[in-house]
Amino acid sequence: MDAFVNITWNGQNGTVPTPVPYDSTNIDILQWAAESVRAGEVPGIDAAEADFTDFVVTRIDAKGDLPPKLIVAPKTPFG
Amino acid sequence: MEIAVVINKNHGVLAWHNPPGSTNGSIPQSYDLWKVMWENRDDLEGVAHSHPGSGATGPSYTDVTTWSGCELGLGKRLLWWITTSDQLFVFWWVGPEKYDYAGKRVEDPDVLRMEWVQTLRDLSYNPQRGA
Repeated sequence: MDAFVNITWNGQNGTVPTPVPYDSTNIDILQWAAESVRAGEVPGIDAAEADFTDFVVTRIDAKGDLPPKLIVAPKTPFG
Repeated sequence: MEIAVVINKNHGVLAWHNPPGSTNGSIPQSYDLWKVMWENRDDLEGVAHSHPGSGATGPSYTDVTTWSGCELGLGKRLLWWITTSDQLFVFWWVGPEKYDYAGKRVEDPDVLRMEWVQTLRDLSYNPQRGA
């Protein structure tokens, strides 16, 4: 099953037009996200050298008619 | 118990954050917290959280990497407060590196009297009072 990747970066949000396998690794998804933003391929996000070091992938499972979704957003734990 | 609270520009509370899995020394990853920050980004001033014990404190590596990531995602800088049971500190990015944050102890009585400061301490150190 494939899923679209939604990205938030620099106050902007967009979805990569080409879906990727839902079970891709977090490392791969973050790498693809960085490459997509760098290439200006994400509608709604200006092309940039995005640094996703402190971002994580959240997986939203398919539910009813809603397809699965992969979300790239900042991490939020505190220590 | 470590607890976080999301603060708006008027020093009001946008959301309390006490997810399952929080301990006396950590608050776990939670997409819900990011959703609150993103949805309120125009009115967002910063996020406060508690550290165990009393006296002076500073950010952990987990803290500064979370601060940096959130600011890069939002495209704006925030204020980041950390409270212990008797002192409050505020931190902000100074650069040039992404994890370069400076801070100071908050001594302004107007800030220390704010409701969220006392409630955060009650919830963190005296949960029976904060409940």
